[in-house]
Amino acid sequence: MQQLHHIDAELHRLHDTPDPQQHSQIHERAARLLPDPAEQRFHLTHAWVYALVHGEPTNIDRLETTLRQLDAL
Amino acid sequence: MLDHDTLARDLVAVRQPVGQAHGLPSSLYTTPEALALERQHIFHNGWACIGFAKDVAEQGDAHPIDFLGAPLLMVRDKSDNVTVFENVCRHRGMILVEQPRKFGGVIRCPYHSWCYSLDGRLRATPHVGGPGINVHEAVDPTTTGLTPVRSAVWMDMVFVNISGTAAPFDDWLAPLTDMWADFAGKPVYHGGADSSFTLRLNCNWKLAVENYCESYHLPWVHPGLNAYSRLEDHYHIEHSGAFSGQGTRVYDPKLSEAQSFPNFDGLPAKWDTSAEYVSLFPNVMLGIHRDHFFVIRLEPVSCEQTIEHVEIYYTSPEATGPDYADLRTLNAATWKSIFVEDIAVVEGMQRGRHAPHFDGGVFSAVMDSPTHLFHDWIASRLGA
Repeated sequence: MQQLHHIDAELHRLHDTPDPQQHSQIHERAARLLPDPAEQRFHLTHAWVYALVHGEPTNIDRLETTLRQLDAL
Repeated sequence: MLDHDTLARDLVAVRQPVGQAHGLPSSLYTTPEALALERQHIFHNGWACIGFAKDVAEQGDAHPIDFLGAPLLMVRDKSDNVTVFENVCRHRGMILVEQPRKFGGVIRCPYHSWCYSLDGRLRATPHVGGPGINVHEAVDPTTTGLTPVRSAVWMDMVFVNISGTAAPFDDWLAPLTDMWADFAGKPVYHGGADSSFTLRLNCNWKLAVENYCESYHLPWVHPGLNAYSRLEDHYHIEHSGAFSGQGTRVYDPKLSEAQSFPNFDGLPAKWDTSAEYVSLFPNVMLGIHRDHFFVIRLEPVSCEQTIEHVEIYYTSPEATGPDYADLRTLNAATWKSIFVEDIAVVEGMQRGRHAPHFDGGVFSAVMDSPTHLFHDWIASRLGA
């Protein structure tokens, strides 16, 4: 729980900064901490969108595979 | 207030032979309704220049453009193609890109984060099927990409045809490319920051075209230019329905005793001393010389305000390098001083368009035929 609060604070801090790679990584970390598939899908969706914005094909492919496994894509 | 019946009668008078014709009526220079009419019939239904490919020089560069109120986005994609889209998300019509910038990946809508690849494909629709569900049968990515705008690039100028109904670009441009066939296939290189400037004019965009396409005013408005390029050294350039302008037979700029720009390779001898200045209707004014080329793109801001975007190009990468920086600066300053000399007359004509009894004016059948040709084109495009 402590870690999730920390992630929330980081996301608030980054809200207006143009660093999609960092956004993507933080959302992935959040997804790993959450047991609920719905919450994982939510955070992995954001991780995926920011990976698309960053334009890193390997991460995009990996996240899309995971999202498909979760029936999110 | 634009009275359409009166306008129709006035445009018939415009389309008479130059010796009997009147100029375009003042209402086309002073009323917002006229600009709205031109927006549709001239700028959107035909080809018009919206910018320059150099403004999206690298892959991933995107440049938003407000084209008479239409939000457009010029993009250089990963295959190096320059394309133009409507700058709005297909979801809720949000403006996608507010400032020129580079995209490493997709273009993300700042509202709900729908994402588009640089070639316009819809790439992501996050949460479109509910939280964490990123697809929905009602949104087909194959039919919901960015709306493309018909576009083409020539001599670094980016042209669009918003309506999609104009003639093919190459057909439209053929009269000019035929006339300037000597320059076909010769790349041009922008001179960089020292070769760009803008001028803001308090006049309707058409007055800038009219002033540019005739040489009649040169001895009176440009005495410095007249010192080596006299009125009798000029000739008219006229192609009905496409462009008009003037040429000189004595081009010899002598910017510097010590240095001159390299010429385009393989030009016929005519261009040793000739230069040509053409208004390509509606909104670009071009100057071509053996050693450089310039474009003035007209951006109508309102019916009584226009911005001239001036860009100067050279014949080789060498001419755009540091060895020629001083000469480029001098060349840009020389042209700027000439264009600035025109401001007083185009703004004076604009104020003159508010005279209650001015009837569009009469033409010199000898000296004003390039201007009349432009007026005739406007009248035809407005349906006369």
